Amino acid sequence: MLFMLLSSISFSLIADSFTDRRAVVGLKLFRTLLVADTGYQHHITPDGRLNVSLIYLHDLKTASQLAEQLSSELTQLHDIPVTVFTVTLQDYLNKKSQRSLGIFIADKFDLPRLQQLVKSSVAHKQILFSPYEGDVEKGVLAGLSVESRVRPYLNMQTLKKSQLKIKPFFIKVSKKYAAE
Amino acid sequence: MRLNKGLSGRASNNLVISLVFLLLVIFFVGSLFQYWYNVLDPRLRLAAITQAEILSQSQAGLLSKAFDVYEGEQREKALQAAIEEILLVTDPSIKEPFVKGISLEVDYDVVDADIDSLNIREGILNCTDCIVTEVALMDEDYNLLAIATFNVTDAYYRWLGSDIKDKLINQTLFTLGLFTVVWLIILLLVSRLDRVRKNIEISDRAKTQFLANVSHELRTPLNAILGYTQLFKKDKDIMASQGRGVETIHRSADHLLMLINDILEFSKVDSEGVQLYPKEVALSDFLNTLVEMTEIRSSLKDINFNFEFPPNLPEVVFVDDKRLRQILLNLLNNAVKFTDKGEVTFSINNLTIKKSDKASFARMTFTVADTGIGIPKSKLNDIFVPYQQVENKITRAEGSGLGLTISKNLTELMGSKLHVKSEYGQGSRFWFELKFPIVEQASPLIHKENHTICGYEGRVRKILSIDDNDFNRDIIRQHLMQYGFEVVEAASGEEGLQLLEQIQADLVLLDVLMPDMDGFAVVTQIRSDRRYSHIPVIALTASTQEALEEDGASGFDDVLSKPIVEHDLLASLKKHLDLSWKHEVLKSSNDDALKNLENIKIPDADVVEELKDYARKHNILALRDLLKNLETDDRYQDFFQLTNPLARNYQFGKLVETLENLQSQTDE
Repeated sequence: MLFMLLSSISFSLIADSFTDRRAVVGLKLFRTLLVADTGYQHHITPDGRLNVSLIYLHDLKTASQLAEQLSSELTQLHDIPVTVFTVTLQDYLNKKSQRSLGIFIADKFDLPRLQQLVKSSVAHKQILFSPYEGDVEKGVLAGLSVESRVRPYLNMQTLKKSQLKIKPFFIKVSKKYAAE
Repeated sequence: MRLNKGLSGRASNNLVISLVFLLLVIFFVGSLFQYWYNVLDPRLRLAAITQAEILSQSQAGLLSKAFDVYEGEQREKALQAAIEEILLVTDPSIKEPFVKGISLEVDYDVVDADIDSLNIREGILNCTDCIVTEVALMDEDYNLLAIATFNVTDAYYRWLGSDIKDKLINQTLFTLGLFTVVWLIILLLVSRLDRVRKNIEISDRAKTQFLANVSHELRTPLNAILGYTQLFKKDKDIMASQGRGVETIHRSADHLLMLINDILEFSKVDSEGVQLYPKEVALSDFLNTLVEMTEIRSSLKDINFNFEFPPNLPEVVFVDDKRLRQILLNLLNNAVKFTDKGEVTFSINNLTIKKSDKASFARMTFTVADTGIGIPKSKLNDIFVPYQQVENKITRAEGSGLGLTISKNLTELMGSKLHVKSEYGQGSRFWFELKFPIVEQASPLIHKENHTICGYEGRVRKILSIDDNDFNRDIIRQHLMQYGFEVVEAASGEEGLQLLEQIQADLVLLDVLMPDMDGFAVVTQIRSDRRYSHIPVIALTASTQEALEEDGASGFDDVLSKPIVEHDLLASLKKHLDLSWKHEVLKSSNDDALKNLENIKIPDADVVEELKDYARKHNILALRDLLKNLETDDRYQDFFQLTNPLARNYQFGKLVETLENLQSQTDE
């Protein structure tokens, strides 16, 4: 446990500004992706809200900062009020949190945890977005491609499995991974 | 024929050089193509695409602003104006608009406008060479409003590509020009080198001819000397009165012959042309000769000479004794030459004998060590280089600088390697390992101590001896007559051919170098006549065997080098006349004496003790001196006859044993 805590702290320390920038820009593309999701109605809660989660493992501080930024920019989606909250991976997988329309990964996960999260998001037809490089290739639905310009990055296989309905516009301007 | 061969050789050289250059050019041009198509062009294309994407992204800002700021009809006009402005922007380097066409695809779910009202398409949209980029247009809330498709010109890529390609082609042409110049220079140099090589070959042939002539001139008188000494050695009366003198003359002439051979060998520039002629060699006799020669040299310099040979050395081995002697003598002579005080040691170590049903082999290491001036470490590699000598007062005065080079080449020719270890001021050690076939059943001529040939079985054979030199003919006649051959002599080639018609010769001994009609002409005539073509013809030559082979000795059945060595002559006659020798067994005076030890008068005890002491110390020179004193005293003749052969043959252990036996017999 102590080891995990130490490793988490050290990861935070070495997280460079490039990764931070990816998280901030990724947050904006995440919001665009949420707007492009036409199947959002299934995720409206009984009290008429849409939930958006930021999942973290240990770094609550960063997750909270990102959640704060997102909630200030995304108060409504398709005229439906949005609630942004942070949740630990453990709580999310143990179904202790409320189900969300989209999940933003706010912490770098190892492969087994990431695979568990991908499996759960696909099963619940949720948008899973990771700003971290290489996560889309590991099965996360969306991320960002940073080349000569910043574009959304979509895993087409995960998109097909999750049966999400994303606007063709969004798909068209995205970089595609594992496209048939 | 030689000229044609030379021309074709030069042509093939030129062809090989040209082919190498052609391959180099093909490789060079192929590499350039590879570099262009696999590296440069894709990189340029990627750079052009990146540039187009960045350009599209920056221009898309104008369109996003038009969406953001305006509404309704004004928005459409603002979009139209923004598109026109984008289409106007021109690249100054290529003087062409950056963007050739733009089309907008709007999400009317997000944008409040009539469907298709804002789907503007301007400029060239079916441009096949253009780089197509799609940029998402978003509002401030990151809502995806539309996709703008830009058809960006690839002119910059084409312009840059063409510019680099031109430079690359220019560089290639320049390099190909350089290649051609180098190719022509090399062809020219090779042609000149070829001419120089031919000149060297001509000069080398002239030198070889000169050496062959010198060799012949020097060997002819030696032939007479050695021939007569061989005959004298067979005459018991002469040997009884003048034995030591005859032995000395024979040994000196033999030594002189060896020196001539060695000088000729050293003079031979093309040492690769040396061939090995292995034969049966009595190893102990061979080593004794080397020891004796080195002992004389070392005694003159007042240094010790030691030799250590294992007791189980094979009696007869199959080896080119001339070449082995040349190597060992060169090493031993060097060791003596470069040692002022201390000792020189000649030894055979690591003797292993492998016997099998088919053949037996002996492997041994010959070592020559000295306590001489040694060789500096930095010069160790130079000592085997021709004409190179380590600088010192001795080498400045004498030596050709070829000895070690020839020794090294000869050891390599024998399948071995000459090693050296040396410490400056301490001495040197040279060694090499050789493997010989062991001769189990040696020819009787090899063991000549106890058996001697006295004739042959069957009818009398008639030998025709053709030689312009009277001495040589006389020696041959005397040699052959003692074995019962009938010898008919001819002083010239013409006379020999006439005699061949008159007598029924069984074999012809033919001198090669004769005035008017030489041996080659004679043998050609003999071979062309059906009546005589079956008669064996043995060439006698004072030239080197290699020189004769180079001249083409295919007409001869055998070649014997002058001075003729009797047992070589007998071996050749036996082979070509299919003879069976008659032998007489010689009684060893040594054996007889051993049986009658009690009758032998021995010198004083202190003299015998001194002899034993010298024998134990292997001091051959002191032994000889002491025995020489006894030889003149009639009382000790039997004693001398018994001990002298043992000392002469370096049988020191046996000598000590014999002396002790004599002492014990006397005591009894």
